[in-house]
Amino acid sequence: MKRIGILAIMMLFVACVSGQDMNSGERMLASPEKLTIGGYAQIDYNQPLSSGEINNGLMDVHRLVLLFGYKFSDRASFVTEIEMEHVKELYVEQAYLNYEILPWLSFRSGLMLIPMGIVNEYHEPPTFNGVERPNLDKYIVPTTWREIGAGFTGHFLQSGITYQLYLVNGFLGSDDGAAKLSGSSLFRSGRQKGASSVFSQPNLAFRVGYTGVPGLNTGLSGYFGQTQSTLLDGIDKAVPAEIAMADSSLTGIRMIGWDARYTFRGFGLRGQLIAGSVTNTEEYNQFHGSDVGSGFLGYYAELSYDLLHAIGSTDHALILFFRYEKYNTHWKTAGGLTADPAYDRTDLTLGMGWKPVPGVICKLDHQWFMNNAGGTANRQINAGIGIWF
Amino acid sequence: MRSLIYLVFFFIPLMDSIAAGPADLIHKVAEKSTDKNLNIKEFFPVDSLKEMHKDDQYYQLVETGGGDLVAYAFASSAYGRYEAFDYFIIYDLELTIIKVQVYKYRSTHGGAIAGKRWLRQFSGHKGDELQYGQNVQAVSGATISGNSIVNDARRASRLMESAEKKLSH
Repeated sequence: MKRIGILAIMMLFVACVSGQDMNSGERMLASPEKLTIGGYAQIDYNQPLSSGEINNGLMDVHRLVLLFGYKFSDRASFVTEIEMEHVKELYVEQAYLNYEILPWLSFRSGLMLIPMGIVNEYHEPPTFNGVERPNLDKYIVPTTWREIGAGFTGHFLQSGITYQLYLVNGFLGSDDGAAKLSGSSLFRSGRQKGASSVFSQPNLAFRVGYTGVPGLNTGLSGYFGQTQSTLLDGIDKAVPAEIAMADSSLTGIRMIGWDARYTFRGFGLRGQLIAGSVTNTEEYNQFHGSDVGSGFLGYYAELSYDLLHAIGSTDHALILFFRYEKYNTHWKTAGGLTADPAYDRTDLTLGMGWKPVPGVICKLDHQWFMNNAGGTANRQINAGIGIWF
Repeated sequence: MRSLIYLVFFFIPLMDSIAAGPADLIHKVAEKSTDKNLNIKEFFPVDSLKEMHKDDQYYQLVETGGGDLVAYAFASSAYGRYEAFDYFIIYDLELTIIKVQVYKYRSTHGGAIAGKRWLRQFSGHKGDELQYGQNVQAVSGATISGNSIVNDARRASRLMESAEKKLSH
């Protein structure tokens, strides 16, 4: 009995001592703040303008996303975002497990965002200018681009280097012989989004970021691999004709991207350059009757200024911006396919954003859409609200 | 050989969790930035309880041997978008910031505020002078964490001032 008493005192002592020495991570572990709830939403109004005809506008709860995070320990956490798009479509935007092995090395697995460019990972409405995302981040980088996979991520704090290295499932290029890739919007319809996704070969995705210079956030991304095809399933390894047919339904993808954001005294400068190639498009197009280009290139540059910065405001912002965007999904074509000049597009966006408090934005902008096929520019006015909590 | 590798991988996570709180690191960094041999001791201010957070830690750095007070330090956690990060501030006796360091940043996003060069902007200022986006440059993709560390440094400076008044009496 006495021995138990001594043991209990010793344990109490140990508990007190370790209680004092807890680092804040351990303290957080001991605290009840394990569950995080967050979210973002954008509600848009798009009004096409044309001189000759009547155009109806579009009013849309474009995205409404709820985030739930749960911290099992200081190392293991799970994050998921449930998305409702256009009110009626339900998606899981992210759902991954993160396990921190070392401060600079975490293992991550599940449904993850592909680290390509700025907007795919940073798509909460107050983080970008304009009601709609840049079109480069629609037709070339198919945001919100996410697939199931696994990999490593981490950061070297003092030097400002971050990295992500994932093996993920690829686009579905061919669904029972129907083309999922197209000349106009490339891989967009091939996204599998983790929904009963077809897997035949892993793809590699990475990004190395650098934030070591105050105000600067820049990164280099890469994506390499092959599209997936339902036609591969069940083919006889000994029948060359079947293998050849399945091969015609596959394309290889190489995409590299560079992005940069810089803020200085109320000025904001951001830009992005994405280039890449698609292999085997000649056979793919022939087999599917499609018009996928063999090379694509897109870039944009955007300048913004916060009018309220001049009067010393830190929270409240009124931002003016202008964005020049150029993207061509038929930058190169293979075989008999002639490049469609209508796919060589230029967009101009001039607009403003009012942020009364961080996390809330009201947006208004005017867009001009042009392409190399000629004709007058299509114009559109957009207005919307965005929130993020 | 292979089992040795497994063993190492198994123990790396454990080793890290044994790591001590911020006191050792603060001690090391303070000695480096003041070029003096110091002893570190924690104290508990009783003023301004309303503004104190449970993660706050307060330190005095005293010169070895002579016993002169050389610097103060404050360590705490602040919140980024969804996750906390841990940082400390070293002050001189006038409570001017000598150095700020973020020693643990958990989220993938917003880590830019842990960069050495970005945090160097705090040095030479009193905590209450700091303003995100003005004398502390804003960072894209780290707005919430950036605002948060600036606001927390302002809070820290208020707390340190009341603690310092108490201590010097």
